[in-house]
Amino acid sequence: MNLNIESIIDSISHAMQSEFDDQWAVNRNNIQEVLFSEKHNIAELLQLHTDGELDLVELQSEISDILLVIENKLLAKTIANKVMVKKALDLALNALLGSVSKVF
Amino acid sequence: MRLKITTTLMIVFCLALSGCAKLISHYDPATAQAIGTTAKSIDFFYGSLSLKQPSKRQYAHVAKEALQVDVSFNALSMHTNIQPNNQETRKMINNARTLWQKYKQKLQQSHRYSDTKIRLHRKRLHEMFQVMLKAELSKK
Repeated sequence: MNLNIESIIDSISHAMQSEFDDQWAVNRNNIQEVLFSEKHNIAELLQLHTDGELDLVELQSEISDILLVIENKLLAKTIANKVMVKKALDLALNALLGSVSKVF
Repeated sequence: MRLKITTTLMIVFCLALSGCAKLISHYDPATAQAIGTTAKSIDFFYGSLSLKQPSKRQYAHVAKEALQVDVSFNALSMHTNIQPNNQETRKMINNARTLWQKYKQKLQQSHRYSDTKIRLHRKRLHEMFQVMLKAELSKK
């Protein structure tokens, strides 16, 4: 396992991009933003490993848990994107229904 | 004739739009409340665990609190499973449940839970529930 934080972030970034590739407008920027928010947590784990509080197996396990947190954050972004599109569609629908009712 | 065609097209477009508008479930206050309740039971579990001496941090001593977390998760899943177009929320809950089960099993097997691990796991699960609550509230 490469214990360099940048390489860890990089491999998570690749994994998440393929996972969320076809999802609702979750793009590279969204993924980078979420990864940035988790960077200090990964750095803390590496520090705990250096200090001897976590062995290598525990460190791997903790980092894999962070992947689930990252996935949840990206799912929340997916929800936010869908809500935005839904609101725009609702507005368009209401405007169209207004036009149709005027015709009748 | 032209008016008829335009009107028909508009109606068809309206129907198509209304179909597209069912992208995601509506905001559900019961789900938001269940997220809060589950987060609280997890916080209580880790609070109880941290109050015990490290040598007494065995599953048997917090089994009741762990059961409360499992019950809260079941109620939360029930709320989200009955709603259509709710796959992202369901996945988020499954992820949080996966972590919870993993930490619970570790405690059952090892009979050891350091202060550091309590802090890390409590904070991580808290963060997950905060994100879930924010996502549910964004549907308002």
